[in-house]
Formats: sequence, structure tokens, C-alpha cells
Amino acid sequence: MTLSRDMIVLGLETSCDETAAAIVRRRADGTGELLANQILSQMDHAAYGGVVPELAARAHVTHLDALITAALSEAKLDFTDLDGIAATAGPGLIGGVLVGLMTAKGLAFAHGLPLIGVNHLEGHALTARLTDEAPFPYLLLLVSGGHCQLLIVEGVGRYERLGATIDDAVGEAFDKTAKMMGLGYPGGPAVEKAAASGNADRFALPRPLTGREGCDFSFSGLKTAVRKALLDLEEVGPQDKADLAASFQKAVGDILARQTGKALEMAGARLGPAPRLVVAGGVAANRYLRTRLEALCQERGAQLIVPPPKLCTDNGAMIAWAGAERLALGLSDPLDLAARARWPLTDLAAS
Amino acid sequence: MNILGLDTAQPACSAALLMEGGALFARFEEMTKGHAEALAPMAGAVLEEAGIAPADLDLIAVTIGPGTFTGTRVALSFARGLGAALRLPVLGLTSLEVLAEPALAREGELIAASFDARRGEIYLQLFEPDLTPASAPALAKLEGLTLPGDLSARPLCLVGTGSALLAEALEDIHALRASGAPSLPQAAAAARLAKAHVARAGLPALGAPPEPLYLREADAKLPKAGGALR
Repeated sequence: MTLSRDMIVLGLETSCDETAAAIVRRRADGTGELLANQILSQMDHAAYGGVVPELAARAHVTHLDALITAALSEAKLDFTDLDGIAATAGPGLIGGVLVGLMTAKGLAFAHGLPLIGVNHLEGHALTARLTDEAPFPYLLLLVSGGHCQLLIVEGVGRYERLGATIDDAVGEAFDKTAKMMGLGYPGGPAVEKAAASGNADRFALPRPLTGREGCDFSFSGLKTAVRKALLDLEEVGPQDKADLAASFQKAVGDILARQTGKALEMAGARLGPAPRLVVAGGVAANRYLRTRLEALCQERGAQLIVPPPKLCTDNGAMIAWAGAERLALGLSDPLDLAARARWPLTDLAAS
Repeated sequence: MNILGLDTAQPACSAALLMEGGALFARFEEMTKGHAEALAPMAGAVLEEAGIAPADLDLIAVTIGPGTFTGTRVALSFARGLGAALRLPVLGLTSLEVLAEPALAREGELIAASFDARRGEIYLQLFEPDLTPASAPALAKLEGLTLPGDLSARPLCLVGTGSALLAEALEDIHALRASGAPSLPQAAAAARLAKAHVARAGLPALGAPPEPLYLREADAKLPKAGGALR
């Protein structure tokens, strides 16, 4: 079933340390419009050098309903104008996911609206359709604090994974690198900033899985090498940290470009005559990595699509949009929907 | 006035509708997990049984803890969502007062409502037989536990999953007995307490939803030097 009319969906995101509520309109022709985008980035985790799940969940429950009210007022809409309520149902930190999902159930129950439990990764995967009207199919490089994978996106709910990290996520490697050097949290922007004035060729860091078949990723050896390089230095000044950050970032760029290039080859004709590469997830906000992927796409004759940074990091708009895309296909969920801490995209066949 | 009561703070899930005329529709199930799946269908079931819609509700009463951290947030998030969407006031009640509500204490007794907090501790709150709080809800160490001076001679009427632990800790000091009331919170009791609250103090303000009552800090240790190696 396809619903051929405009749909307005509220989306809630609470799976990590961003509390977010957003509203999108999906027009009958498949194009979209962001009507409201409210987001609260929790700052309480910085001192811990990483997200503390219980603290995150506590902040979500305190702030979420005010963000929903603010989103409605930003869009100049009322609850009765909504066609559906979407919330991240996983994967993520379960305590936080439950806050968003239960709030969504309360909203949906109140007005008899459809509930759409959105896979957080599908939110990232479909964002480029909201921001850039990207048609299916495309190759997706999903790079965030919790994920690093390459998928062919054939349609809503239709994903084929070509490769994924076998250990750390790429954003996790950034966070750990930043933490070791005391650069601050979150690590992505901190490393990028330090790297800007560093010599990327000073430290010889490994590129794990080089020469291996397939397009999986590994970052744990790289992280260990950063740690060793740091401990081997006799004295550590700001320039040393800048050089190490730049060397690390270059290694990540090499790894991402190499494996994404292999994935483009593996996908081959399935991406059509004008292949598209969509990059999503918080790490997509890194300008250096973006430049590397731009160069790769130029070399391969592919089109690079990167949504704006505020829609690459976790946000409610991607959840609202994925909810709208599912709703347009007649897909929604019952009120006894369970949250899932683990939920691979490839388990997500649209029925 | 139609009041919807909700609770998932402890190893049970319940929803209850207390209607204007006093009719009560309730669902209750003991469970250690699955609250998030069970709650909304339970709320739907009591409304359907009563033949009313969510828009016919006047007040939502929800437990705010103490209890399990995650469980406490399940009903509270649902209640806050429901309250925001229907522009209804949400009244937060401690799970301990909800536990105490059905306990019938004799004159002179104190109702001791408790929840096993593990690690040698219980969540505890004391009430007079008419449910007036005699102490604030608190996390208490069982070892060496004593009640404040003016309460130290009172016989106790115990309710809640901490009762056996509390009895063991206090039996040499206090006369005590089990209340016989259910040992887990009931949404029906939350709805009755809310009705009494409104009669006494009026409806709670809109747009000021209740916050969780954890009574225990999140487990999180600050790393030395923010985890920096150099």
C-alpha cells in the first residue's frame, strides 16, 4: 500500500547523548521538507570522556517533552496536524531508546496516530533523500560513534551490507584518540581541529586489513598504534599532538577511501550508470575525510552526497523522515513494540 | 473526573482507570522485564473496557520511583507524552506512597513501605495510618538501621519487597507485622491517591510534568585526568 498524499511526521531521537525532536513533511511526490528541528546535545558526558548511559537516559526524560513542544511551535503546528509519530526504537543505549519510544507511544496513543519505530541506522541511511532527494539505489558509507559500515541502499527497508567494522567504530577511534591525548570530547571535532596544524606524515601508523579481500574495517590496531606512538614520545607538546592527530586522521582517510573504493567496485552495475555515494553519520561532518571521499568519487565518476553536518550527527529529522518514508509505504508499528539495543539494518526487510 | 493511573517502577506493570462515579478498571501483571511493551496495551484495555477515549481523561497519575531506573522512566515517559499530547496535568506519586495506600495500619502503627534496592540497601518511606508521610522517601542502609527518635518506639506495618529485609534489620527494636497488602505498586492505588490529592489540593499545574525520583546516583566514575595518557 502506498499513501499518495502529504504526510507530516514528528520524530524523536534518544538513542545516545542527543535529545531531539523534529517534524518533517513528506510530499506525495517523495520530496521532503524539514519543518522543525529541535536538538539538545547533552554536555554532562564530557568530563567522563564518553557517554554515560544512565546519565544520558536521565537527561532524555527531563528534556524530551519540552523539545517536542518547541518543535510543534517552530513548525506552527498542533498534535492534531500530525499524521504519525516516529521514534528511534534501536539500536542504541536501551535506557535512552525507551524514553523516546515510550514518549512516542504516549503521543500516538493520545490521538490514535500511527506509531513508527525507526531503526536509527535507517534514519541515517535515508537522510540524503530528505536533504538531496537522492534516488535509490545508492552506496551508503555510514560512519558514526557507534557504527562503520558500507551498504547498498535499494529502498526503504532494503539494505545489503558489503562491509562493516570488525572491531571499533570509526567515531569511537576518534573519541579514544582524543581522550588519550586529552583533546576533549566529543573526539571527532577535537581531533580534526588539532590535526589542522599537524604534519600528517610524521607518524607511521598502520592501515589495518590492507590487501585483505572485501571491504570490512578495523580500527583497533590503529588506536593501539596511536597509543604506542604517544607513550614513546619523550615529551609531548601541542605540536606533537597536532602531528599525531593529523597522522591518525590521514590513516582513517586512507582506510575509508580504500574500502569505499572497493565497495563501489563490488556494487558495480547495481548502482546504475551514475553511481551515488551517500555518506552519513557524525563522522561525515569531518571536512578532511569529506575531501578524501570527494577525491575518490571524482576518480571513480561517482556522485558524492553528504547531508549538512547538523543532519549527519544524531538528530530527530532523520527519524521523522524515515518514519514518513515508512508511513508512505503503509508501514507502522503496534503499541507493544519493543525497543532493541541491537538491531542490524539488514534485519529490516520491509514487509 | 477520569484518572488514568500508570506504574512500571518495580517488577510489575499496571494501568488503572478510576472514573468519575468511582468505577475502576485495572490491569496488573508482575514482570521483571517487558514493561515497555505491556504498558500502552494495558492502558488501551482499561479505556476500552470503560468505553472512553484518551480525550475523555482529566488527569494522569504516574509513579516516579523509587524503583528500577529504567522501569521508572518507562511509565513516566509514556505519561509525559500522553499529558503533553492531551494537554492534561500529570501527577507524580512516589512508588512508596502507592505501595502504602492499600496497607491497613492499626492506630499507633507506622506504615513502612519499602523496595529492595540491593547492595544491602532499601528504599524506605514511613506513613501514618491515614497516609500522611512520616518521613521523606530515602535510600537506607540496612546495617545499623534505626528510625528517627520520635518514631523509634512505634510498631510497624510492613509493605513492599523490602519488608523481609526491613523486618530482619528492625525486629529487635520494633514490634512489626506484614500488612498483607500487595508487595508491588498498583496503578489503581495511584489513581485513588490522585483523586484524594485533587480533592485536597486541586489539579496539578499544566506544563510542569513530574521528574523521576531515583534516590541513587548513576554509576559513573570520573576518569583520572579525563583519561588522557600524556
